[in-house]
Amino acid sequence: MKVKYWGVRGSIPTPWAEAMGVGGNTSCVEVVSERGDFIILDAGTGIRMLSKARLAEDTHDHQRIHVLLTHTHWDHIQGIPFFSLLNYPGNHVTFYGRDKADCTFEEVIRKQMDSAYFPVSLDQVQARIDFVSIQEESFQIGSVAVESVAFNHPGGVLGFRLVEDQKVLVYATDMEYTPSTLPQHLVAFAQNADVLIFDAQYTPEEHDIKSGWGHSNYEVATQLAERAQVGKLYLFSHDPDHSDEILAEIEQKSRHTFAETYLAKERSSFSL
Amino acid sequence: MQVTFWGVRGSAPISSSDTVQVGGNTSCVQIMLSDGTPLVLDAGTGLARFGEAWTQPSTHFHLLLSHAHWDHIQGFPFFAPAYLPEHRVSVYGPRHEDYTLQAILEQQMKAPFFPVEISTMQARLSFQELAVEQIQIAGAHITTAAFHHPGGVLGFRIEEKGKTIVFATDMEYTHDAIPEHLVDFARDADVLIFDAQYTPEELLQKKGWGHSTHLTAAHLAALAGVKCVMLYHHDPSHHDEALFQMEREARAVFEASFLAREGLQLNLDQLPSP
Repeated sequence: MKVKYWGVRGSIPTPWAEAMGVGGNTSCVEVVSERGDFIILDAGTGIRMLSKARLAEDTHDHQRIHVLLTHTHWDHIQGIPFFSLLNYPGNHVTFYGRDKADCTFEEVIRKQMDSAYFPVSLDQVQARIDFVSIQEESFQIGSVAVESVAFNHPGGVLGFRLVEDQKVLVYATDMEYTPSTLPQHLVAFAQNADVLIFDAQYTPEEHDIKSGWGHSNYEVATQLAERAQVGKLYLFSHDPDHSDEILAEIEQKSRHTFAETYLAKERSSFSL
Repeated sequence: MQVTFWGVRGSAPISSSDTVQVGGNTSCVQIMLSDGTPLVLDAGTGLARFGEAWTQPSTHFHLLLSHAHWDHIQGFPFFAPAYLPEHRVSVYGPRHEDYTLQAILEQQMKAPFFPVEISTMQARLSFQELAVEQIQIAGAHITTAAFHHPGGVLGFRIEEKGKTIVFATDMEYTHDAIPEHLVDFARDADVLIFDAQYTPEELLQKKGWGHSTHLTAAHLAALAGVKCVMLYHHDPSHHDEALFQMEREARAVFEASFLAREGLQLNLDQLPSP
């Protein structure tokens, strides 16, 4: 699998110079399997940049695209109205996410483009689109085996474990745990991953103030990485108040606990 | 009155190193009235930074929304002063055929879209739907007018102590077909803030999307006899250099044309000169 970060920020985009090194777009990670399966994890504002890059490379049409959404808070779906690959008739895009008690996953995604809020509805896009409601389950996307598991976040969130040719990528963002409440099922979910992408929105001090807001901190991330014996840890969902300078400090501190810790940075990529 | 631009971008916030000079936050302009009352025009992501920078206690904010498309309301859940009981926030915006103004902002802050409900905001909130009318806020006299945009949009003409600011964004007109009622609305303004999202070439492709060009802005400024025009609501695909070029082209039509840039402050007694 080849992985590229298009959005690494939590909550709200941060378009200012002091955050530009790490990046200001909200959650979006591109995964391309060895066999060429095209998977997108979350659809924050980063998906706009992903679309632009595909256009520039001329790989924007006749694509089979799978968009996996951890949950539907704004910072994970706000890029969909600007996901220009939806405008090409040769594309087939499948969105995966959870139904809510009072509305289906499809209704949630369509509501963002209600005429009160956006001038173009999803009915008007050119690509073939469909919606798959998922819960905690295992399913296959081409050569990639996907496992989804629910974790602790207001309204709920899914983590995704992607496996291809025994290489394992775990994407676990927007979930709140502390080092002392790391649950066994999360450790098992991340176990032996080659790469773990984990929610490190806060510092431990900020987390004390923002307890219950649904995010973890870098100490949780590094302890999880250590206990699950992952290969590499990427800190993700950076707080909008964290400048490049603060994030560089967080990366350094994290390495005391888990040496193979890196900041997820916009436009950086790696191969498993 | 004093004007501060907190968000100047249209459509979507843009985080890129080649757009930081002009700025990437979506629509939000602060206008300080002479008695210190803050009017805030639109609640795009720029509103979050305005809120963070606000240090005064017990303030009554007046938030005027041109319309409720995302790029004009998406900063509201991140407006920190609204969470403090000492403040008051009066929200004004156009009537929508299906939802009340209050419902539109409430729905934005509900599961499954946002973890914190509007009821968590401890400031005293109130909502007032506007038609084409005139209202008074502190010492300012405000006139609204409806313009051409999908779903509709309101412009605001704000007058205080003989000075006039006109905020007219998200409206589609070409430079050769500017309607008389828009010219009248902008007439003799000290500062005209106008939708300059596209180039004329782009507008040909994006006809019906509800936006004007930098040349519409400049021609309108000339016809209305304003003191200066601020090119506003920049397209997310326009990087800094492209925008500087648009500013030069606008100045060829109307000399006192300026790019609205994030962080820029205008004092109406000392307007910039080109």
